[in-house]
Amino acid sequence: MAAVTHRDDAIDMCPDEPSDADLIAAMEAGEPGALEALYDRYSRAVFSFALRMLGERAHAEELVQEVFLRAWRQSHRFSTQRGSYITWLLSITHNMAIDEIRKQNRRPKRADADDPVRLLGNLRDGDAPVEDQAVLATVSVQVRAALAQLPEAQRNTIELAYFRGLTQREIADAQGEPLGTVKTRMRLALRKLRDHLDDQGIELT
Amino acid sequence: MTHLPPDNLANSAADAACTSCMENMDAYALDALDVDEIDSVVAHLDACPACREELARAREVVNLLPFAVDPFSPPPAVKAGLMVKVAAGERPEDASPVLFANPWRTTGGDTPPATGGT
Repeated sequence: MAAVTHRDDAIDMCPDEPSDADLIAAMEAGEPGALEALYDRYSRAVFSFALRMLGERAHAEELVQEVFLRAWRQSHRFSTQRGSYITWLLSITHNMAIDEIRKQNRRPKRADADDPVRLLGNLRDGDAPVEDQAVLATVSVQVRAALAQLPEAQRNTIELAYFRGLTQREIADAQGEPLGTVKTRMRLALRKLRDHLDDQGIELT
Repeated sequence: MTHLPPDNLANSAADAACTSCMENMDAYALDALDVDEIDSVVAHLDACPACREELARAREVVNLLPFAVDPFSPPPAVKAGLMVKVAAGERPEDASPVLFANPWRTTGGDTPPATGGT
């Protein structure tokens, strides 16, 4: 289960399910069933994030496979002592998506690319495990709320940097702002996000 | 010309290095540094526990950003294709340590270290 939780949910939501650590150990022993179980648990979060960054469904699907193949090949590189497994998977996803964006100089091409609901219509699904949906949905609501309370300029800077793969210099050029202004916006945005999420009881693990 | 004692000189240089690193810390955590800016940040992080702590704090927040997206499940064919590749011979790598791996770099396609719970 995700280790990024609301404090009120900081108990094992699935006591009958094998833990991430158990499944990772089984992967290291070469058991594909363990990879399959971790895929079932986390592919939705990985795919959603990849789709948000790449803006194209086919590329996001390819990326999901690559992320889980890397997780399979390099399972020994994850340590449960240093963070949650979903965070590790999403870090891999971000790195690979950034590489893809910068390699192809690919940007979401449609003005409504920020809203995959409009792009993908009825693909929104509701069949993920209920307990996973509950915890991750709680975190999602809080993170969205934290982003929504940022001043627009700061929120846009986070959007361009983290989700669109622009460097701080590219952002400064695109916005016609001094580089120092972009750095300040990043700093203030992350500080406000931290304060807001901490106030809302989101565990930053 | 006024000369600072050696210790103060060293401290001053360290402060300047930390200040320079801190200016780019948030962009580094967001993967928004240009390639030519990364090396100096990485070199300083290798030597500065205080800045590593700051990076860990920034990443705690950054690591939550992926949860802000709308949820979608990949189609079943993605999982099927993955498992075909695994069955065809993809194997976990040897767990022997990777020499000269840089634990702070997050760009360039290398698998990042797990962070956030230090």
